[in-house]
Amino acid sequence: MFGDFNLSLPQFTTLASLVFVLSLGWFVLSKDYKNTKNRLFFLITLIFGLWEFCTFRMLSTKSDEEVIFWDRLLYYAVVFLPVIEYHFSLFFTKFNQARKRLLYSGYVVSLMFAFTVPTNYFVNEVFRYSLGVHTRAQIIHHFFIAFFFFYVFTVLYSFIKNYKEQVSKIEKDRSIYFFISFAALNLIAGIAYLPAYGFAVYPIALAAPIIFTILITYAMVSYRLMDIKFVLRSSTVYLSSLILTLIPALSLKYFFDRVLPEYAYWIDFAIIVFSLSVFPYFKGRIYRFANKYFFSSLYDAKQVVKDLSDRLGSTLEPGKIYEAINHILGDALHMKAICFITCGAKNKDYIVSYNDGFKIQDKIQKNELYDKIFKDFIAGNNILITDELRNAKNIQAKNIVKALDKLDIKIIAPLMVKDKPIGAIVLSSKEAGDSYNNEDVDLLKIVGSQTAIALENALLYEETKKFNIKLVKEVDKATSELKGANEELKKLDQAKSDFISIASHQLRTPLTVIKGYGSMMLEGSFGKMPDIIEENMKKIYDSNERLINLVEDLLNISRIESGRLQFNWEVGQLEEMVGSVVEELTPNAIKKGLTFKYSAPKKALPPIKLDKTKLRQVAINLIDNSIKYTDKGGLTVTLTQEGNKLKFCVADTGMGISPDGLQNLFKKFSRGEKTSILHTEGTGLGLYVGKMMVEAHGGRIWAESDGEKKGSRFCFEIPVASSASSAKTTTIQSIK
Amino acid sequence: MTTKKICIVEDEKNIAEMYKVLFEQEGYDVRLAYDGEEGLKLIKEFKPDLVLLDLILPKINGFDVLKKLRCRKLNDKMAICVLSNLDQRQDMEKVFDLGAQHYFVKAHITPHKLMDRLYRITAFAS
Repeated sequence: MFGDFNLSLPQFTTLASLVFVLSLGWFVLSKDYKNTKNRLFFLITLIFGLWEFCTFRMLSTKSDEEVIFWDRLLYYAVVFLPVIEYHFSLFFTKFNQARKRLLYSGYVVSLMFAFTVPTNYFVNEVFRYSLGVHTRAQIIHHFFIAFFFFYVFTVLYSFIKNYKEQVSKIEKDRSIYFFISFAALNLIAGIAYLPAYGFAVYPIALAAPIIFTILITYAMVSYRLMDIKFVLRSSTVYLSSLILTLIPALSLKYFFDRVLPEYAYWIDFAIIVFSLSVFPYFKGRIYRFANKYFFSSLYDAKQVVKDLSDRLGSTLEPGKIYEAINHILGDALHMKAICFITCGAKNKDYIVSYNDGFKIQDKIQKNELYDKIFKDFIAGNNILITDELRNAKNIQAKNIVKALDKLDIKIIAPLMVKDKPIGAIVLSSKEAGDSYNNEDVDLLKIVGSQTAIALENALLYEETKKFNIKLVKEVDKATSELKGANEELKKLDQAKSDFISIASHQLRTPLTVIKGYGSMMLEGSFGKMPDIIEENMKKIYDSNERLINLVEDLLNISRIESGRLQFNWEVGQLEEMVGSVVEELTPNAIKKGLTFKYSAPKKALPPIKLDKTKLRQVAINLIDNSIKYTDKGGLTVTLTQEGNKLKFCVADTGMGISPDGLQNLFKKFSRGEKTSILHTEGTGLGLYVGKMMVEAHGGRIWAESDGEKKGSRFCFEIPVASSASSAKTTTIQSIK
Repeated sequence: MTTKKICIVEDEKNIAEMYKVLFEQEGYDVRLAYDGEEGLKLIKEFKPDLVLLDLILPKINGFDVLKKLRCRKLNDKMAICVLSNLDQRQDMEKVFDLGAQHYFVKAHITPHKLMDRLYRITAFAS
């Protein structure tokens, strides 16, 4: 078929078009093959591909029959072209009943045309001319031409209408590119019909798909047509620069190798130097070019705002917020530099909290100019655009522009939180050198408010974090103070305990000596004493005994109050203890001329859990008190069982207690009102200690009296030991 | 019948003398020591039948005296009676753990009664 590769230009064009258009179609289809829009687009390119292929075959044959065969074959596809294009265009306009009807009728008519294609009424005979070949149009073909252009203009009209209806700039741009691309495609390709009517035109129609492909590709790159995104990376720029450098370099080498072959080495060296020096220049140019033609206004504001929200929503650190905004705005606007200014406190400098690209200090001294900018723009929530200010007449504005131009500042967008300015976003000129448009400004307004909120949140978070740290410190401090206080308390407690120990020991030592010698003297260890001395010696001994008891009471109270009173629990018989106390104290009562009766229980009482020493002390104390405060009559001790309690009582015929006195009897340092005058030896501690002791046994202590001079009854009751607790017998020996 | 030997370890001389007077009247051989160190030495040399031991003592306290006595196992038949004015339960428990047989609070017992008790609870008699 391609025997000698000597293709004519039209033949070459058909093949090039074929490759271009099918590549584009295939690319679009591969981006989203499930999308009907993409499928229709692919179908359109396929029809053009088929058209190019059949035309190529027509140009390559000399046989008229073959020409007619290929031309009819291509017409089978081409009759559907207008309606498919219309179908495709409907995806960019509103779909209504009229359009629906037009679409379906279009398909029906196309089908009808298809049936007529093989007949001689559509095309017949061959028209050859110097540059090409075509079949001659017949009667039905005329109708087809009308049908074709009707639909093509409808398609173009759809795109224009879409352009008018769309609000977003990018959508408008997309409509324009569709319009241009489809106009170029159909109108240029339409020229191909002319030879059918005997006009020998140059077959430029064959190049229509190439033009179409280039236009559509550009629109895809620049405007993400059909949501297809070409990614132009810096590597592409590099590659292009490299090719641009290599072409002249290789050409030069080729040229000099021919002209001056003897200096090949030197020339190679010169070419390398030349290439290295032009490469950066080319790179800069291409980057600028790419920015201008491929990146400008590429962004979709909604998408940018959405991305920004996503990014800002996931960070609370000011540094990261600045980074994110720099990144996102950089992608959309391609500014050369960005910085964030934060307003310090009143009369303080402005702080540059983030800077990428500007040649400015970290702090900006306040001056009249900046104050003016702050007052007029930032505080008023107006975006300052240097280029807009440029036309202003007043001197102040001119000064501002001058100052900002020096720093290449193009835009200052305020950051406001609830009408309070907190700073500004400052942008330089764009990479491509074009100015900021309305869309950019609108975007900056949204970005500004979002940034302000994010920064405010970050600030609050920062404060909360700081507060937390402070709180932790405070708590630590308080804790250590408490620890210290606790240590102090422990020391104090230990000191108290030591005091009890020492006091008990130190106080008792001299008392022991007095008691010991006194008892020995009274018992005759040192011989018989005269009666008068013995009598007085007895007084000394008794007083010392009271002193010993007093020390005992004081120590007990100290121990009770510091929780150090220890009990030697054992299970025992209360009657044994009471019996021995009665026995011990009977002489005292008799000496005072009192009667002392003890009605012991008839039968053995149930055992109780007790500390014999302590309970004994209580019993002694109560009986001792009765003896002490009874001058006439006597006392009766009873021990009975009442339910599951054992009750000890000592009743006397003594001075009795007033109702008021009864209430305070068991309080610390309390004595009956009258007793304080009559009997100064009581400490008032005995009953208090007794109460503590009895309560420690789970019992109760109380006093009864019918009134003054009517005697009194002091009682305590102790619960009977349960079987469980009776098992817990302590092994400590009695110390007395 | 040999004379029973008593060793009194007591830093308060008045008290020590007091017991000494009484026990000597009863016919015992009584020796005194005024601190723990002296007491240990005396016990080692004198080999008493009964030791009356105070707890709060200079140089070596009563608890340590008990510990050392137990280590040396001087005399199995030797009775040890702690005579102190400490009356806390843990002190008593400790003392019994360390091998003393008896514990009396000095301020609560007259010398005669102490002697009565010692008669009653030990086979100790002159």
